[in-house]
Amino acid sequence: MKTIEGVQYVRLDFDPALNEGRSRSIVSDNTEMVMFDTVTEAVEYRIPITRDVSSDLSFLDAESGISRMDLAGIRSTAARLYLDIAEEADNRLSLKIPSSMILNQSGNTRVSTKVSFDMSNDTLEEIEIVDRLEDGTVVTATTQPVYKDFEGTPIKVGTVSIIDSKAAVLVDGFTGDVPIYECPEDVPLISQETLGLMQSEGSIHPIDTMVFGNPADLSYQASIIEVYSDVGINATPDSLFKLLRGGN
Amino acid sequence: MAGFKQKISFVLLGVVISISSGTTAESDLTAKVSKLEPEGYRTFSGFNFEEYTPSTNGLKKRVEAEVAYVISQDSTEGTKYAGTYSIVGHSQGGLRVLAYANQLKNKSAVEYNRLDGIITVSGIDRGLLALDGGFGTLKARFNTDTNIIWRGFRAGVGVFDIGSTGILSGAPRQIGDVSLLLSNFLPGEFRAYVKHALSDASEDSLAEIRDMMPGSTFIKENVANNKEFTYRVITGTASGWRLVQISTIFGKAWVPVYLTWNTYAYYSAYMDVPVFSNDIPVGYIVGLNNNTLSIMDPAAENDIRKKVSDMKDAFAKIQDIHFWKCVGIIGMFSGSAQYGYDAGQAKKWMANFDGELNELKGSGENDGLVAKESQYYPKKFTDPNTGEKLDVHTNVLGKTSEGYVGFPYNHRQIWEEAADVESKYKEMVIEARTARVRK
Repeated sequence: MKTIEGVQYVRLDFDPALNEGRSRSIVSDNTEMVMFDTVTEAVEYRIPITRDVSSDLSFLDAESGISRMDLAGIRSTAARLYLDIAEEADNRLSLKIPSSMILNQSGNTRVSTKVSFDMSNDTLEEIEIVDRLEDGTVVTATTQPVYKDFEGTPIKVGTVSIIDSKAAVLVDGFTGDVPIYECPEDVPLISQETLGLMQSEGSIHPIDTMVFGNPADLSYQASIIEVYSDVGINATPDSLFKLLRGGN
Repeated sequence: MAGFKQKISFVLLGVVISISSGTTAESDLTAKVSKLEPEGYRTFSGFNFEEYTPSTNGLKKRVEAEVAYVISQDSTEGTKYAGTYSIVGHSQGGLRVLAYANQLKNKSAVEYNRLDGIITVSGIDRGLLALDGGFGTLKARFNTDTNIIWRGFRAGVGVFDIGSTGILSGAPRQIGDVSLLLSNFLPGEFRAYVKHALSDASEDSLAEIRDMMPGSTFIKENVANNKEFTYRVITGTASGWRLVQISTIFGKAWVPVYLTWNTYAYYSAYMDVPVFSNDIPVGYIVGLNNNTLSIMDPAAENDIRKKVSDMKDAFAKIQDIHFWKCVGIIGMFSGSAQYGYDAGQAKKWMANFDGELNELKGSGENDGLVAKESQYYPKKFTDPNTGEKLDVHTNVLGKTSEGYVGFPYNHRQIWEEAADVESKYKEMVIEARTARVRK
């Protein structure tokens, strides 16, 4: 991340080892995003940045959440906009954003958006959003930035998100004799030797995808971890952003 | 009680049975049961999901009618035959020929003695594994897949130019819109059998399909009873990032920690108790080409694979864009964490396309439609708890240690195109004459 001539640029290089071997990078400024091949610099995709939130929330836009934030400024702007902002226990400042300020994606309705800040460190603590899909499924996504201390300054080095999708109804049409296993330990364990014996007689077959929990319930919980390594703030050469700025 | 009512209506409407839905019409019988071939066997063809008209008539009546039809053919002037014969069934025909033996045994000892053996070819002998647990099983798998793709598309709205690329054109606009998966990725034969499970019709109104479900009353009473077990086996260890909640100087937080844990493989085992006895030899010819798309013509298969590959790449781009949006606070509360996950799941689905289809079929080993484990009954079962070896059915044709003869064909090829399969079941017909035990 680098500020050049008053414009904030962000560059992400994806680790090929974790992305099916793809060498891909993204650079952006406040108006445009360019996706390109990290090695050849061939541009794959270039789009203008469109806002999916109300422009009234631009006071948060400037605050990237990468490091310390101006919580006093956020508090006063939120109050001016009549947003619901309040101090909570454990030095937490919570801001509830009205759903009308979030542009709905097709197929879902925003139920609530809550942003929490850690007042003791002036950092973003957690964002919780709740969406309702057309079929009644309620999806709660909770994202926490992970900070690392660099000489007394917290720097965001990743995010941890937990997505909890709760289906509104159970799928019908199951017969009553379907066994339900909640976790691996519920399933009886056999030895490799017994497995080999049963395979040779053809009485045992692999299950490619083992389903845990009630198969009629399409609810799920997923955890997503994003880790940034080699984070640089105003420490990288300008040339890394040349696809936006031009030049070599 | 339901069976009693059916029986009454059959008697009362006996005059018009040839046009009643309560019977099996002669034209249907001649279409599905061949005449006696010179080599001494009859073939029983499978079930056409596409042309199936929902009916409360199940397989019991169909097999009864087939038994009566064969006896009648063999006693009719012009086709009269008093010798022995085997029966060879493909797909649902495999299930029916196994039930045929039982019904014939109960009907007439003389007629049963004329039966040399049974051969199933890509037979759904243990029932259609995709329907294990009822229509709900297939419906849940199908809805899960549809929702993964729908959520992937949704993640692309606003961040990826859907219209101009054409890659994501035809995106479903509603969650649960199964038409995308049905019409874009599956051959007609597969679509046809999925559509009944998704129709919300009751099992009893689709009685022939109900009877093809593993553990159905029809299978238990006419073919085999079985118990299904699930086991796990330790395969090794894996390492990776896991979330652990810890206290930091910035408060409590979930943090990724690198951990090592045991990995397992999971298995289904079946303990079968066949209704057909050991005096009747059975041969199993098993289809092993699990590429469902090979049922289509090669050009159509290539089109689908190209579409899948393009969509995988598109979902990968969408996922990366959402990761980028999560660097800043706005992306985080506009939902990019969730959308990035959704696009990643859709990408994984496309990357694992054949595996996803296998999951719909209930097994990675299959003939493109029917799971391998549905296609045969093993000779023996070893109880993992006691170590006791139980004989299931040991009078098996084909002279292989596995108890079945595998061919690298899909469900259609194995019956319509494979000369080597035809040679094999003709060999089995001859073998059955000496393997048959007559009292």
